[in-house]
Amino acid sequence: MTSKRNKSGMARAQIQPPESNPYVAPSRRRVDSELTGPAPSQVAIQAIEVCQAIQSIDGSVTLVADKATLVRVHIDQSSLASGVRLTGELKVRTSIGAPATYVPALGDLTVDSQAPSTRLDQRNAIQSSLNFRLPSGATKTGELLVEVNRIWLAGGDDVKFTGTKEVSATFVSAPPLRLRCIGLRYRDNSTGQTHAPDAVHFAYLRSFLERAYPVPSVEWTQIVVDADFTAPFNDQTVLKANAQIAAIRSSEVNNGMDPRTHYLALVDDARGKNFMRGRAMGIPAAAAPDTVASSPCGVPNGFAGDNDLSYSDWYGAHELGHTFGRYHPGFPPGAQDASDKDFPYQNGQLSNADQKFVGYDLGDSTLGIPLQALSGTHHHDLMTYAERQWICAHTFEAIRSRLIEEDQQFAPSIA
Amino acid sequence: MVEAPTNAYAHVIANIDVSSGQGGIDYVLPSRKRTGSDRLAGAAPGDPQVRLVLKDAAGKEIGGVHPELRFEACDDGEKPHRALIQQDVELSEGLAQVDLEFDGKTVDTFRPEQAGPIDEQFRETASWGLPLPGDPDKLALGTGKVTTHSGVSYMVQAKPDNSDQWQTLSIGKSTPEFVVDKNQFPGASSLDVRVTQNAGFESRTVDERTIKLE
Repeated sequence: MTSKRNKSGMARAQIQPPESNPYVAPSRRRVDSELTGPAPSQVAIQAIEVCQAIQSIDGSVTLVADKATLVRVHIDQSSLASGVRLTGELKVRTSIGAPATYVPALGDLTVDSQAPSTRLDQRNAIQSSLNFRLPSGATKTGELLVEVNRIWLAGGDDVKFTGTKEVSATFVSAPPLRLRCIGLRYRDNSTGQTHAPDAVHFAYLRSFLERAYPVPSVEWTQIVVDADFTAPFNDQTVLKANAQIAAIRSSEVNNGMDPRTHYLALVDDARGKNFMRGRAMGIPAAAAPDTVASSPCGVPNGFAGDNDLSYSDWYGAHELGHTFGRYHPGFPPGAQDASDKDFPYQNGQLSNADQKFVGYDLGDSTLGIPLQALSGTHHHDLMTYAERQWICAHTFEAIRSRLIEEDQQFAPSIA
Repeated sequence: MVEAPTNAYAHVIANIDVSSGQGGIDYVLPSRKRTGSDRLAGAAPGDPQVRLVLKDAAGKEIGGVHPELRFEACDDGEKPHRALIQQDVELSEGLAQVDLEFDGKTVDTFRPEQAGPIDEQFRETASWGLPLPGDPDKLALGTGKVTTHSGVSYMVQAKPDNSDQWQTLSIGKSTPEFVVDKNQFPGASSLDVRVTQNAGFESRTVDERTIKLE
């Protein structure tokens, strides 16, 4: 071992890795280029997309203030070497002169020069862009300037960039979703067993609503109570379920529950043995938060293309959608009435063939749900009966408007 | 403890099938205020075929309303025909009966019997929080040993010490007995529980106590 004195006066040992111990590596200020790959001379930014649950290529979907928000920086990868890893940093502020917040990327972008060359196709793969999760303080009501501050080779030097460097986003205030979820515990007379929704079904529904619905938050309460019905079920069961939660709602609003609160019942399907088809009791033409609905819950096992731990999420969101005035778009044809004459996307999809819209599921780490881009032509709106459900812009904006109406019309009077 | 809240309304929950004309009154819940959304919903005028008819003790009509019919969504492709009614009815002096009518015919009648206070019966026989045998998370409350009357039902509500909101655990039961599941109140160490008798268009608290959850 040799010793050198650096200019600051303190001896600094320079360790040479002995052949017998290959794991002692010399400290270096810059990573060897052989490890980072060839550094591009510059990169071209094609677009910056600010997105929540659903977004169009021109940013037409309303951004809800205080809602989880993703920024995608789309880079032209066609002229870059595959395997190059890029990362970056955003600078966000409310105006040019305001203090800035610096936001690191969610990991890095590994360049794939063979990736689809069109931005429309690239948008369907979440890993095809440099992604950033905005901090909660950056999504307050008002304008936000989003600027790409730096791009650099992961572990290496900064890279010059051209193209779109900054966009302006507007966040609009929205009320929360107030929901009381009531699990109805019932006895199966044929087996003597009692069934109630497991915690996973409440959790999946709550998470889905927070991620998909046009709300900054879900004000959620839940409880399990004994049902006024038993199994085996018949076609009256769902009516009894809805009547019971309507009664519960009335008594609780009479005792101070916020009258803007929606009530939804969950009924476990007992591993598929007792499936109660969901029903909302009404599709109100105007704000009516007392409209109740009931949904089955259970393990999907491929139901509507769902293979995770619960189908309460999209099913409950569908029934809840009716209570906000949403009709069926009519897909698949023959399986559903087509009462929503204004539904704009073919086949109940999130987008037409122009791929203008992409769904974004920002994920939930508590449930192991990853961040995902949801192709607009391979996913369907949650008001359909089709597979792979998410929320389309038409439903997103309509529920947002209805929530505003409810919030204004039914706010509790101040004593 | 006896409370006699001033109830100005009754929230009527009923079901009707406009294809068959069958239906029934499921709940009549006295309340201090309107609990439905219909007052501001701008709902379409109620279906003329269906009517809630208000009558006095002699059976004479003293009022009526065409309620909004909330037809079920997600039906099996046919035109919706089963509906829920969630109607606030303003209580008027002399109101003794509510009829559900369809096409002028009475489908169901809510006419509560006279029911005296059960407070003494309740206090003498009710349990307050005894764990069920073999299931210590479930606590037995109330009693089934009260005289039942038509149109008289019981509601059990609870408020944990970590919340301001009364939660309804049981409603529309003919006897005031209930099992509390402690695990429905995470983080709470005690629970205020009250039993309310809904006797027709009046309600009164029969008893209210605090039970320990830990």
